[in-house]
Amino acid sequence: MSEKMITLKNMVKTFGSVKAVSEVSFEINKGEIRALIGENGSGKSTLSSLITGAQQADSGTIIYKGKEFSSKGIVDAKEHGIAVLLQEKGTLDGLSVAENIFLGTENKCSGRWGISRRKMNQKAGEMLVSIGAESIAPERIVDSLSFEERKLIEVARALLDDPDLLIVDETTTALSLEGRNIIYKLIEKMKRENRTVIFISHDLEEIVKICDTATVLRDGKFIKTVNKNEMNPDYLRTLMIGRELDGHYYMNDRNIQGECEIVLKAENINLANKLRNVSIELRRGEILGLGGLTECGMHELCKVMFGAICPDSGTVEVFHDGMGKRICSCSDAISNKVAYLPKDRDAESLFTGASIRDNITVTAIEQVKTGIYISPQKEEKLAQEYVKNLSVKCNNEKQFVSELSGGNKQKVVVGKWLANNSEILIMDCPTRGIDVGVKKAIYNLMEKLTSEGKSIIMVSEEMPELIGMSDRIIVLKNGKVTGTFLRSQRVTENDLVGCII
Amino acid sequence: MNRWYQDNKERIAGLFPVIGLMCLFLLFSVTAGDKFLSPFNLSNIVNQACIIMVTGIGVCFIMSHNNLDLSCGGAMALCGVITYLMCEKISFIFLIPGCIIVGMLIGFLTGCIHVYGRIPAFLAGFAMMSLGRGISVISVDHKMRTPGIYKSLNTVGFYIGVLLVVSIIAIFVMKYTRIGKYNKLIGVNPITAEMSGINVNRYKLIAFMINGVTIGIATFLTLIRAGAITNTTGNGVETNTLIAVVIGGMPLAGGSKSKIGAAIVGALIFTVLQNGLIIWQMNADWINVIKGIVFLIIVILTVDRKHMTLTA
Repeated sequence: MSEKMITLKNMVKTFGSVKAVSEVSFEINKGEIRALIGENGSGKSTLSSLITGAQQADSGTIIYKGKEFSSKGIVDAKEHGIAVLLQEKGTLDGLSVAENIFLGTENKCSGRWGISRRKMNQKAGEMLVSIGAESIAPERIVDSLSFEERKLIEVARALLDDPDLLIVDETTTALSLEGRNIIYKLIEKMKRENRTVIFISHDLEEIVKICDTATVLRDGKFIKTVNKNEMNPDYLRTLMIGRELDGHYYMNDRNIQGECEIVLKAENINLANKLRNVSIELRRGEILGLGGLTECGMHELCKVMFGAICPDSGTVEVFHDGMGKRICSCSDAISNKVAYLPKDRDAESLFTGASIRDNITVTAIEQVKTGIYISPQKEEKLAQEYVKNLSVKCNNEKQFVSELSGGNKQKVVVGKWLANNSEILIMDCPTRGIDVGVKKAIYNLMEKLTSEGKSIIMVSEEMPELIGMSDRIIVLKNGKVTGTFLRSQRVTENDLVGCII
Repeated sequence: MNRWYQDNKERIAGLFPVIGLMCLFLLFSVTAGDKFLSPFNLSNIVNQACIIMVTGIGVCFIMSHNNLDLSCGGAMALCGVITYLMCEKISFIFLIPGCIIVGMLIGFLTGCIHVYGRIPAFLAGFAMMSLGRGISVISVDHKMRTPGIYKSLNTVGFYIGVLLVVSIIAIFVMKYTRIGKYNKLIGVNPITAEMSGINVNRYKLIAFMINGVTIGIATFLTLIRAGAITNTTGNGVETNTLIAVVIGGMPLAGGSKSKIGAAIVGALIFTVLQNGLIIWQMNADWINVIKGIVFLIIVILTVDRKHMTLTA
């Protein structure tokens, strides 16, 4: 058999009274691509931070390349050949692409007179070409780059020292198809060179496609390591949640009455170089899917429809009983019962440093006040109602949102918009970074809401989700509408890809 | 036990300033008992603490939405001078409402400079402080005496009465109205606030106007206490207020944990400390050093570093 790259023995890490990782042991071979999967809060990220030394384990040993290894931190790990790609943004604004790539390792570019910018740019350029991101110029300042391009810069930085062990922590969830393909290729290359990759992702289809083996964690405990021949999404899902779950968790066919009234209409929206003459209509009770590459303008379109971005030209109107009202700001949108669930939940729709109660009641202050007095009892009642209905996992409604897991945070966002009886929900990647169990709950909820006559616009970067959930799909490419599909047409991924790329 | 601690963490943390105040009080009672506990000295402490409490209550509103106010002292001097000159022309009956309205307008102006000029609030406040101080020094003359009738209000009872009214209203506004709630939420995350339909600029301006009102009230209290407007009216109030509020447990970055109580307890700690050290016959310069050290220790102990690294 092949040699061991890394062996974990009885790893334990606790936060307060919570065991994030408890007695986890497994080993990974050289040249192996290992998936690490589990629901949110199952300990995947904690385990990877124990390996890199970003956090210190309470007990347990790591044997790396045959020797006992204990990293003092990410830099130390990097020097030993362990690199990590994280989910969050890891580039510094105000610096050029090349400077970001050589962050902390500028010495590699020293010329006769100290650091040579020319040499740095040249080396960075080579690096970018080698990973397949030649479209990014090394001289550019990162501020002007998209999230995806920045991620690729981090990839280049991680690969600079030819790491033997690469940890990819939910990086691909934030990337479009192109970006993912770049990462897949790199992983393949690592494998050919007999190096090891630990791949953390929620996307089970992706894992089955690219990983050799998968280790499943649940509640911080090791459950099983699955081999390639046994891997299929349904089986992994069952292992992850420890109970049977129907693979077809998307909506079944349903007949949407063709001619329900229009509730929201965006006409001829233009926005810098992001959107060109986009017009869309949303009908009562339907789920309208918006698909495309990350930078196709769909995220911006959501913000325009919510009034958060002012378009250069074009109008957004909401209709109540045939009466049209224009949306020019977020408060216009909210008072016309439009809700927006952004892709970046923590930054744009949650008060993470405030209680669940404050987060839910913020849009529904009218309901809990008498005159100017806001009644804490009424607030509590309202918050408890949504915590219960949406089964948010928490100690009580006074708990801070920052202490919740991704899926529960999303539930709080949903609760916030249901509390003020929103009629139109604009959901931007509603299941991004959310584990399977909660995903299912969100899908059910969407189905229930539409059956109550509410209307949903859903942006999604996952095609099965888009096809499974939408009554109608509009595809955008480079800021233009390139295709419209109805559920009744039996859309396939191929149909969509044709319009997306 | 652990669970109980988790649930009541906030409340326990909130008790620290109160415990600190009690310890200080005990320390000075034991070491300088007869002087420190004399009725004259105690009423003196209340009189002194009162002004800082009132300005501190206003500053709490500004800090709750994650801003700092450095205008208090200068703004008080400006408020005093303007109101005095106006009352001189019309009638001194209007001294109280005059102070409040002029104070509110000054606060509104500072807020506008911050919100519409898109300048950090502490700079706007700083500018207002200099400006106010300058204008008041230019226009003040030694004839600006408080009319005798108001001097009779210079009693502990009156101070405590004013303080009770101001703090009860402020606590109500901070805890049970939109103004307080929204300002705290803006302090947590202004982007989410805007995207949840909160008019961020309007609520910030309201906070600045509340701060202005407390500046006006503090100006009036200074007028009856000092008996006149001089070119040192309100000197150093801005820093003393800021130190007091932070010592009292107001989070520097504002947000959900903001509370009016911080201003009240903090002002008492601040004044008791200063008063006690004077009774110990400590040199005034050394008192400043001690105040600085205490402030630093509190900041080091309480500042939310997790939050700082996230925003930095």
